Amino acid sequence: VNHLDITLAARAFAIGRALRKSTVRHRRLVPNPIAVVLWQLGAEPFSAPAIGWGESHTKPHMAVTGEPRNRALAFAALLEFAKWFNPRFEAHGSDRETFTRGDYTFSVARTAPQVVVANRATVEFLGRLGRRLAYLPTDGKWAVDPALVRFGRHLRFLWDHHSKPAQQLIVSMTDLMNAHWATPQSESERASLSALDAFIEPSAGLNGFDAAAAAELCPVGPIPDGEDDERLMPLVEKFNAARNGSTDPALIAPLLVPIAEHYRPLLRRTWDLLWRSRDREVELAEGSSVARRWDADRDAYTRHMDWMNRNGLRRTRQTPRQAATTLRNLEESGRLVEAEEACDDPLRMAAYVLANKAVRGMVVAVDPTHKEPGPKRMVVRPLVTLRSPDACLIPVGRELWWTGQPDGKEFVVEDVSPAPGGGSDVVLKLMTSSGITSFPAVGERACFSIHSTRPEWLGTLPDDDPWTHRPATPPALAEPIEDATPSEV
Amino acid sequence: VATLLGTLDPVSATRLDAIRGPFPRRTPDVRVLADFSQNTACQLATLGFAAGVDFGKLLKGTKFQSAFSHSPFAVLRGVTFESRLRENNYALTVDLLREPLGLAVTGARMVNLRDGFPSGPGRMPARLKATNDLLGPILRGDPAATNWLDGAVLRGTIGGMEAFFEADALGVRTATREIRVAEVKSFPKVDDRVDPDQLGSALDQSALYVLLARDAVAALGADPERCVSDRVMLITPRNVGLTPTLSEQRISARVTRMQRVFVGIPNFGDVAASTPADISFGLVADQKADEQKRLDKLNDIADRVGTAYTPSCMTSCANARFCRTRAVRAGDPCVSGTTAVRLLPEILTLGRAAVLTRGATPTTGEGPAATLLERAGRLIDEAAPTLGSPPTPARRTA
Repeated sequence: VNHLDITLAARAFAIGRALRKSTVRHRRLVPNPIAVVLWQLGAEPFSAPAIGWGESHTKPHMAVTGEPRNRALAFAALLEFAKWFNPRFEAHGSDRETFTRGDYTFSVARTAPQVVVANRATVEFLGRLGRRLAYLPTDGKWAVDPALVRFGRHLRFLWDHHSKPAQQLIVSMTDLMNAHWATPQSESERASLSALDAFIEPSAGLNGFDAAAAAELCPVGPIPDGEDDERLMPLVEKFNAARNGSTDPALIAPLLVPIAEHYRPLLRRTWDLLWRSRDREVELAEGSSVARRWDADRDAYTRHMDWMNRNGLRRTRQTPRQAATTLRNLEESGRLVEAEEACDDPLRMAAYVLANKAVRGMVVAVDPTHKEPGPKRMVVRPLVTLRSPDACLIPVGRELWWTGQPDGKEFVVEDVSPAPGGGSDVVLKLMTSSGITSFPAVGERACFSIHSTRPEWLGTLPDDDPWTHRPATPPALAEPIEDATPSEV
Repeated sequence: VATLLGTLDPVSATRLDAIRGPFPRRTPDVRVLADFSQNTACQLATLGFAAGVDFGKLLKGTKFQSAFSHSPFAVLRGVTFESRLRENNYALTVDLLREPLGLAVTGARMVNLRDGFPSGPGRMPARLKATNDLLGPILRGDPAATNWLDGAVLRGTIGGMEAFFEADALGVRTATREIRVAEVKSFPKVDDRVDPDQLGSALDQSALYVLLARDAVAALGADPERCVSDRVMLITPRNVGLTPTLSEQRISARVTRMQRVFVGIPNFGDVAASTPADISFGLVADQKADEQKRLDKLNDIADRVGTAYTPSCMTSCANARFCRTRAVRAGDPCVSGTTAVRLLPEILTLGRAAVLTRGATPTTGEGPAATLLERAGRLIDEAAPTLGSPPTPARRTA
C-alpha cells in the first residue's frame, strides 16, 4: 500500500464505488476456461461434498458426495469430475510448436488450459485434494482409478504453479480483481469475492460499503457457512441411515437428491458471481507483456505434461538445493512482473514516479553524438534531456531504463537541474553507442524508470551443498496420505 | 455463574451486573481472552469484557448481528478426534506419548478430569481442587503420580477477578517430573506441516496454560520455571484420517507475550468505576425491543466510551460489523487498514483525503501527507484521464 493506492481508495470512498487501478488487463483470460466451484464440509480438509465445474456460464456440471468422509463416496464424486477434467486439461499438450536453439530442439504446447476459481482458499483446497489423490496406488487392495491419480497430479501442478507471480494457468478471481480494482476495503474484505464484486458494481442506489456488507454474508466457498451446514446435517444423517453402509452407486443416486438440492443454489450463486466477475475483467484490453508471461505458462504446462508422460511424481518436501533455486526463480519472476506491469501501464508507473523511482516528462534536447573518454579511446554516449513537471529527486548516477525499450541498455542520470516553472531538467546518458538501444526524440513524452525487463543472470549453485544445508536425513519421498485402512463412516 | 469467584468489591460487582443487564455473564475462557487481547485499545470491548457481555448475542436479530458461525460438522470433527484419544483407556494417547514422556510399558496413569464431576456451580472448583491434588504428588516426585491430566482446570486472575480455564491436558515427563502443556486440535498435519494460522492460535492458547500452570505450581511451593516446561505438545490428526500425531515446540516468546497481555488487562473494578452511571447493555441485548432503539442505544454507548475499530476486529470481535459501519459513516481511514491510517497523518477522513487529492488547500498539519496526495492525484489524472467517470451500466443478472 502506497500513497497512490490510498489516493485511489480515498476517491473510491468518495464516490462509493471501486475505481480501476490499471489501464490494461495484466493477465490473460482465455475464451473457454475451466471454471471450478468447491464446497468443504465443516473443517474436513481433504474431501469435497459438492463440486461445480464447466467451460461456459450456461452449462455448469455438478457432483455431490453425500458423505464426503467416506472414501468410496468422496472418490466417486471426484472421479466424475476427473473424467471430465483430464481430457480437457491434457488436450492442449498434443498440439506443439517446435523450437531449435543451437543443437537443442524442443517443443512447446501452442495453447494451455486455464482454470478459474473464486479465491485463494479454493486454490489451496484443490492443492489439498491433489495431495490426497496424486500418490494413491493404482494396484493392490486399495487401488483407485488411474484417472483420479492423473487428476490429482494435475491439481498438484496447478497448486505448485500458483506460487509463481502473475501466472495464469489457475486464476483466483479475487486476486485478479484486486490487481485491477482499488477499493477502500480492508484486506480481509477484499479477499471475499462477493464483497469485492458488490463494491465494484453495487446495486442501484447503494453505496459500495453497504452493498458489500450485505453481500459478504453470502459465503462463496469453500469454507461453508455454519447455518448452511446446520441445515445440511439432518440431510446427511438421513442419507447415511438410508444407505446403511452401502456405497453402491445405483442405491446412492436417488438418495443424493435432497443433498444436491441443498448445494444447487449455493453452487449456482458462486458460479454466477465467478463468471460475471470474469466477464467484467475480459472487457479491459490486455497489456502488451501478458503474451510473454503466457508463453512462460505454456512452457510450464508443457514441462508438466512431459513429466506426466514419464513419471509424474513430485516431491512434497523440497531439498535445500531445490528450495534455493525455487526461491531465486520466484524472486526474479516477481521482479520481472513488477517491471513489465509498470512499463505496460502508466497508472502502475505513476506509483514509481511518486516514489522517485521513475521520472517522466517531455524530451527537450537530444545529443546523439556526445562523446566522452572511454577506457581506451573516446566513446559515444548519447544524452537525452527530459523536462519533468515535478522536481526530480533521483540522485545523479542512478541507472534508469526507458519504458519505450525496457529490455535495452541502461541510462545513467548525468545531471539534474531546476527547470523554469518549478520542474527539473534531467540529463540521461545512454551507456552504449552500439545502436541496439534507441532513445526518444525531441518533443516526445517519455518515462524512465528503475524497471528493466532484461532477464538477470541467476547464478549457479555450487556442485556440493555447503554443510549448513545438508539435512541429516534427506526429505522423505512422497507417500499416500490415506490411513493404512481407510476408515468408513 | 460459578466460574467467577467474587474477589471484586460488591459495589463494582453490582455495577458490572447493571452494565451487563439481565443476561448471564459470559465466562472468560481462553478464546474470549485471545479475542479480547487482539484489540485492548477498544474501550467498548474492554467494558463488554469486564462486564461479561456476550457480544455474540448482543446484536442478535439486528442487521449487524455477528457473522461468526460454527459448522456442526467442524464441531463434530473435534469431538470425534478427542474421543478417539480417550478410547480404550487412552490406548492411542499412551502410544503417542510413550517416548516423549518416557511412560512405562504398562500402567501409565491417565486421569480424565472431565468425568465424574456433577454439573452445576461447584463443578469447576471441584475440578480445580482435583487438579491441584494430582499436581502435589507429581511435584513431590511420587512414583505413583499421574502421567496425564486430561481436562486439567487451572485458575487465573483476569482484571482482578478469578476465572477457571480448562487446559486440554497436562502431561508429566517421568524422568524429570517436568509438566508439559498439551493441546488437542483437529486440523491435519501433512508432510510435517500444519496450517500456520491455526498453529499460531493453538500455541497462543498453550502459552496461556503454561502461565497458569506455573502459577499453580508456584502456589504449591515448587519452582515454576523448572517444573513447567515451555516446550508444549500439540496433538493433531495425521494426514486424511484421524490417527493422532504429536508435534512439539518451544514457545517461550509466546509465553512472554501472553504475560504482557495479562498485565495489560485493566482492573474490572476500575472499569466499573470509570463508566458513566447510566450506561447499560440491557436494552441493546433485548431481542424483543425495537431494532432501531437497540442500535441507537449501542451507538450512544460507543460514542461515550469510545471504540477503536481496525479491520482485524472482523475476525475477533462479534461487534465488528457494527463498529465498521460507524467507521464508514465517519469516513475514518481505519476502514482501509492500519497502513492507510499511517499514510494519512492528521487527515481525519477519507473524504477529506479525496478532496486533497484534487488539490484542495491543506491545513498546516495535513501538509506533508497532502503534498503526496495532491501529486498522486495529479499523476492519476494524467495517466488515466477517464478514471472515475460515471460507471458503465450495471449488468447485474443475479
